[in-house]
Amino acid sequence: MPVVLTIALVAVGLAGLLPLLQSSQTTTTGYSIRQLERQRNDWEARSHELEAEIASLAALDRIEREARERLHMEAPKDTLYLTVDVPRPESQPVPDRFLPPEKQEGVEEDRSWWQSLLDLLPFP
Amino acid sequence: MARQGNGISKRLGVVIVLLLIATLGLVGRLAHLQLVSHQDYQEQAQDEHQGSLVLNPRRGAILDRNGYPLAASVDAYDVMVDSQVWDDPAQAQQRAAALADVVDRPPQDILTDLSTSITREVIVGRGLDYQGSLRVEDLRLPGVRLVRTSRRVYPEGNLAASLIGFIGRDNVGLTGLEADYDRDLSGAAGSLFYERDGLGNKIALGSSEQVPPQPGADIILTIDRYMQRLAERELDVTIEKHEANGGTIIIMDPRTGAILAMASRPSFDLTNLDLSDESKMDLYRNRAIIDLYEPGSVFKTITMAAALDAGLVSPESVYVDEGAAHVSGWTIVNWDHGAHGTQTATQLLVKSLNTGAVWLSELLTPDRFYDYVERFGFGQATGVGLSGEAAGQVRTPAEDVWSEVDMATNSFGQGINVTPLQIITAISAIANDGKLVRPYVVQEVRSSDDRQVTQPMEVRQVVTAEAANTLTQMMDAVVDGITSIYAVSVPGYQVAGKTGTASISIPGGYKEDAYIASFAGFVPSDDPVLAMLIKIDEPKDVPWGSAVCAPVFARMAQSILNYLKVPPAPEALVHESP
Repeated sequence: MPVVLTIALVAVGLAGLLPLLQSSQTTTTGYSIRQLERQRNDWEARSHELEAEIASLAALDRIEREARERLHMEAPKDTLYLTVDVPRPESQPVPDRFLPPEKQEGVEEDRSWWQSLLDLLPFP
Repeated sequence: MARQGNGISKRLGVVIVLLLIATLGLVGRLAHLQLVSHQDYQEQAQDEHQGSLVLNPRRGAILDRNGYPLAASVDAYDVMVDSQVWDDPAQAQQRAAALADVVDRPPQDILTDLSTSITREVIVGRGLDYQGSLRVEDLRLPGVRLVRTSRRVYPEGNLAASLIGFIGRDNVGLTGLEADYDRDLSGAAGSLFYERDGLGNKIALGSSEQVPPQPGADIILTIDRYMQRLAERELDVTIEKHEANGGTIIIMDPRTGAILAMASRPSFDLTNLDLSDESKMDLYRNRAIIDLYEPGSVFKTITMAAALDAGLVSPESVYVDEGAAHVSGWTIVNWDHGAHGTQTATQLLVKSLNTGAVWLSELLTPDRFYDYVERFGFGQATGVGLSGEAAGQVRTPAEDVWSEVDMATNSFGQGINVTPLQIITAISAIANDGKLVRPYVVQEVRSSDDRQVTQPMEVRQVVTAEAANTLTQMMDAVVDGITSIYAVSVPGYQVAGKTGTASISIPGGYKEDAYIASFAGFVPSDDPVLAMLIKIDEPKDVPWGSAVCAPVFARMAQSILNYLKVPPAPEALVHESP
């Protein structure tokens, strides 16, 4: 009889502990979710700031300023159009393994304007 | 004893009755609260317990035709304070002092906002950047929360300011494309309902319901930032050089109607707006589509196109210029007050003879002349898709006030009011084998789940392709005729164009010694890729379109043709020596 009572008491104790554990676990998960949401928002904000930074770096005024001041370039004074009396060389087939992977349809559609902008920049 | 007992019973009865009345009153009040007013109290309790947030969507970007942003949005944060949490004056003073540095406002201003506001939550700081928002969070002030919104940035500075327009503090478009496409750009706001604690903070495990915001669509323009910048630079340089009052440059692809650049001056500083200054209101309009002017001799191309299409003249047809045309008691003379004798139709255009244009209009007769004017799109909006576009003013024989001298002056571009956009659209029709196309500036509206692409639209065949091509050759001759005097040639390419020097109408007559100089043309003339209008208002040193505007056209055409990699005519090529 005492054994049965002890087992019953332990069982009741465990049963009482279970909701407590569940509640504790839920609370911890809830805080984790909030933390992750906040991180996501932070990264989104940072990402948007970087987009704007890319756009300002690609601005024509800045490019011209860099070309003139840093690279010491200047606008051409004359334009000369040349024809070269040599036929264009025939295109040599390049083995597939050296070609970039084909773009999947649909992937391009999902690219945002700032990703397309990155491709236009003359950076490696 | 019996009397005493009766007295007790009586008093007891009174107490019982009073208690009953009080009980009934309480029950009644309870019933009133529970049954009648429960809705109000439930709402009050919910208001205390439940918070709600409007989730602002990100405003779409405005991009040039190559995808470069002309206007974009970055995240910004508004700082909101719950005035009920800040009800203790001493604490509020302390908290305001802490917040003041971040929101860049004096603490007293923050406290004044809180005390005067009729709403519980008050915005005490606007437009903080991401770093600023982190500083606010680090303060961990009770009753303070950040609301995510967006701030407009202009990576290309003031480029195409009057076309793009601007938004107000509430992120609603006020002028230009920002206003016209506000519905697409602004997206749809979301919402968040949540349970909050006594300090106004969100309860982590409380119930919440969120509808995410829908970001605004991006607007992709037909504008090319390179050409737009070139147009604005040339406009600024030319206005300064000739001390002019303003001007407009429009570049169009004559084959499609796509507007590649649309610049006008004076304009405004998009990156540093001051909407409180009412004197600047005049700067905000898009002059290329709103302002009317008399086009002057550029309009002779329209008269000539009509006469060629009607089969009334050929380039070799001749008339005798006696130096004056007499119409309804009025005398019309040439710009140089000269009499040039026998002239061909081509010479008429090259020398820009007013008497010749009058001769052509008389050959056409009013019905046919105004039919062509209408077919070229004058007197009606082009349908470019921008609000506020003017239709222009054309007086026709259907109106009582019209007289024959109206047609005579209209034939050389006076007495008729047009927009710069109408002129370049009509000139593009000549470049495009006589087909008038509808101009447009928005190439595409692109949202996350939809794409609306503008297709070029042919409005009508205004004149035959043969008439248009004949006129093109005559316009080649016009440019060749002034090349010897002004630097208007584009090496390697044939330009077709026409100059204009127009008087400026004011109530009761014309402004003295003030003109609008212009040049409209297209290049290469045999296969045009761009049509361009250069219009300069009231140049002070020299009034002629050939002197003021044609050289600008040549410089710009040279740059743009190189930029577009348009090959020059074969004879312009320099062969490499073997």
